[in-house]
Amino acid sequence: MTDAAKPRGVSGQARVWWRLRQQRLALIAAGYILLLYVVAIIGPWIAPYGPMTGDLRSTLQGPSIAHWLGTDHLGRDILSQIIYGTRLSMWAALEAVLIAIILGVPIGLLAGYVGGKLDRAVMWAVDLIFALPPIMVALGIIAVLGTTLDTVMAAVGFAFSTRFVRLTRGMTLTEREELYVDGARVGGLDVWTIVSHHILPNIAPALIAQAALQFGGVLLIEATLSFLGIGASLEQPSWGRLLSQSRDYMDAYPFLAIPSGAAIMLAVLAFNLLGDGLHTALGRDTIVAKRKTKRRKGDTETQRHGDGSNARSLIKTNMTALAIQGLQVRFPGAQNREIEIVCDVSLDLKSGETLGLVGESGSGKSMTALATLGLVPAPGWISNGSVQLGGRELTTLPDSELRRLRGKEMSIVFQDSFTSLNPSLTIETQLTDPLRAHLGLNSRQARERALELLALVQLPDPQRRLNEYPHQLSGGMAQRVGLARALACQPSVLIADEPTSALDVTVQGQILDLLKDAQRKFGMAILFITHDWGIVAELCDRVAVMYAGEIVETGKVDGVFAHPRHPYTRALLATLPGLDRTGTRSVPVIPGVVPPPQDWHKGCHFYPRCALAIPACNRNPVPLTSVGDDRQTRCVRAGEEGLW
Amino acid sequence: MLKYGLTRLAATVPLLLAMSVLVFLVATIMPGGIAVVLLGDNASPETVTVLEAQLGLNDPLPVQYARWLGNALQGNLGDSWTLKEPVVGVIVRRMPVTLSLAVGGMLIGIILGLMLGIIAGLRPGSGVDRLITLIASIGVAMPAFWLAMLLAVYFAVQLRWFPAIGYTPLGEDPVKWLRSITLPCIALGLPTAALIVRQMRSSFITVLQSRYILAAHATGIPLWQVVSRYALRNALVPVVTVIGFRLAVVFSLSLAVEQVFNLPGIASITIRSVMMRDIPLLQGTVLLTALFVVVTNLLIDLSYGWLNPRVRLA
Ligand code: SF4
Repeated sequence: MTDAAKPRGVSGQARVWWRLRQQRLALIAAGYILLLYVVAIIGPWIAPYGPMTGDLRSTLQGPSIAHWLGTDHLGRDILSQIIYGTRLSMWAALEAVLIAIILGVPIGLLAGYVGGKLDRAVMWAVDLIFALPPIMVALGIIAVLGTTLDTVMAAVGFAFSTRFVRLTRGMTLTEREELYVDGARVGGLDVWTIVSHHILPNIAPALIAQAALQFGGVLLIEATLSFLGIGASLEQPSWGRLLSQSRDYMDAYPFLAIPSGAAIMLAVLAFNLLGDGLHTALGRDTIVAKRKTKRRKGDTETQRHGDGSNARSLIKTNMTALAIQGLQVRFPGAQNREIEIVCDVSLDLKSGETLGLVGESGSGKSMTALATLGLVPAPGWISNGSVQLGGRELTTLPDSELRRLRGKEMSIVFQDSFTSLNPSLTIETQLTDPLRAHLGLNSRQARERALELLALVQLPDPQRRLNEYPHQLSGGMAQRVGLARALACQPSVLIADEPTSALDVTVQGQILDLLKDAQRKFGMAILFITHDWGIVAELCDRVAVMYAGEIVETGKVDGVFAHPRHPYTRALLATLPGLDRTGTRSVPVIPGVVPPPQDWHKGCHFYPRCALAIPACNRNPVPLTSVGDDRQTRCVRAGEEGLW
Repeated sequence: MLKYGLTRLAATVPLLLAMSVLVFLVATIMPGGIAVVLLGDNASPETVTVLEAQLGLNDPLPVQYARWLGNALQGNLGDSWTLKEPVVGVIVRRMPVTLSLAVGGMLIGIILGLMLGIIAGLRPGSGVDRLITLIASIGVAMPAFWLAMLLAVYFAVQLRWFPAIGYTPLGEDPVKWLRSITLPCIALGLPTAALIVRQMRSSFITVLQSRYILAAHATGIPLWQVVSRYALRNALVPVVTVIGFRLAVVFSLSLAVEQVFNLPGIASITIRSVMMRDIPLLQGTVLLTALFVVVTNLLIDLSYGWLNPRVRLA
């Protein structure tokens, strides 16, 4: 997403909040683990009875004052057994995890750092063992070395060490490329020092998170093995062993199975939660996927087309296709506050007209586009304002009816065509699904129509392309497909969200020509979002400049270019080298960046960066006021003589 | 797709060979050597020497391995030392039980896991989502054999809906067979489901936030179509990885569950082979696991190809 659709401040805070809550669980888990180890250490002093002291007169009793968790078949106190079991299980797990780390981490560091043949050999062996379930690896070793608890835990540790090798190696490979490692290497440090002093400290946090997760797995395996009678002996009351004893009394006294089973489960749960929490804290959450726009070079389609004449002169209708009034979009922020990321946007778009929407990243352009389509991503919502398509109010329509209009009456082309096409579906599916949904075509008709559309957007060899997947297309081709999809049902309004800024210049021109062509054919209105004034000059009839969630100036393109009436517009235009379409397109540079939405001023949003700011600007919200023929601006000083 | 499948199949051969070497070596690194294990610690050196010659233990290792592999390829893994009958026969006889559990448990796990994962992922943060996530966290931490015991106590001992122990072969009585494996399968299935729920939920959330889903919504196709056709497939890719890992593990998880329900599967012979150092039997069970894992990985690879055209066409 280009700008406001990724509200940095908002989602950042929401994420921190979300992380904090995760952390709280992880903290509780860490506390519980600490408690377990305290119990493991001081167990013999706090256990009310010895682990083996039985009283045959009171067997299989329920919880009582004397025995909080009751007694087993030999009259032994269950609480005491659990306490001694904690000692055994927790040490055993620690032993295995430490062995896994001591074996795995150095091998992983070395394989990752040295690379080459050593790396390949190590990884081949590791993958071999990794393919087998750890419990089977452990069983094989145990069969050879014997079944005492220590050998068992060593075997389990060995089985788990492969995970540490893989993880450490992977991270070392990335770290190796970092600058600080280069520095150390040039400084003549030996491999071992670089690895242990420079790389290890950097990957340690992730290793610790991993260790916590592995702890849970090790505990489960220890319990399973003890349950099967391998590992802890009859005299060693590990949790798994206790559980297997209770099996014989399942019918007579089912409660016996509860305490030891619960002990295992809670301990594993605690380690898992701690591991998850650490992962989250390290920012390895998968919930928020990063999106990058990629630019494809080497687009060599050459068939240019169209005479480039302006569409705006050909269709002269005054019907309003799209009317946005006072649009406002909010997201939930920290401390139950709501954050407005689109504050007050009003736009009018007539049939056959092209309106440019210009502004820096973070100004809310893309969110305005999404809100128009009723696609504000959760948890945001349209909190105020109206959107009318051909006189029909959209903000109050239920989703099912909105869907009937989306893609049919209004559609959108996105900036990055690759990410907006589904990687695992063919072009045909993605083009024909909307056709079938909106126009009720059968699959053959839809396919034919799709071919026509691909011809319209001048995609070479459309027959073949239909059966292909997005990754088989070039950037320019993918954008043509995106355009074909948007034009599929001949919409009356097309929103183009920076459709060319990821493409190289030649292809850009071709796509713009296609847009103009289509506009001439279908008479649709285009809302063209861009930060490229060159495109505005060439393509648009009118322009709206957006800053920090608000429209700050609108007017006819020529007028705005000649006489900007807002300091922001003026600053943007001042940074332009030239307006030649083939020339370099500079991204405007004004000192500073658009502040995140929660920092927007109550008065003029541009106040902190404005060269003309006076104290009055920061007092009250500034309204959009009319300054002459079809020109509006949002500035306290708009009326001052001599300034403009 | 066929070519892709064949390349994947060919890639399993070296893996299986390497596994067989490992399994073979287990026998040779036995402390004291096989003959001592067979004859006991008190055997005289002479008898040990005689036995070693009989077993061909004096040949170089590669020769021994070739002989062993040749036999193994013909379906002969030797006789179990403790059961005194061919290992392959024992395994073939017990295989259906363990396989029923593994397959049944995975089916329950996958179906339940995908369903709940999708429900939770559709509305992240909602009450339903939080409930499902909570149950899944607990499920992941739950030892399968403990769950098995609890199920046995409640549904078999108290309610008497299912037999508490024992196994009826499918060929003998399908209904009884189903009843005898229901509880074990659930015990294996629920923790599996918990694992799949977590992965499904998070990858579904990621996919639903993606550009191409937004773009699909923007084309106005119905919601169910967006979810089922545009989101599900892509969300499944990481889930399949988890399912693969789980498939490899479910086989060994069923060890403890089989014990709880006294099922005549692979579990008891595996434990027996470990406890009594019955090497041929151990080799048999480990090889079986390896085979299972390799076949599983193959299936997983094939499903990647189906899910992701980039893999298939590469
Ligand atoms: S209102 Fe004041 S701060 Fe805002 S743009 Fe106008 S002059 Fe600058």
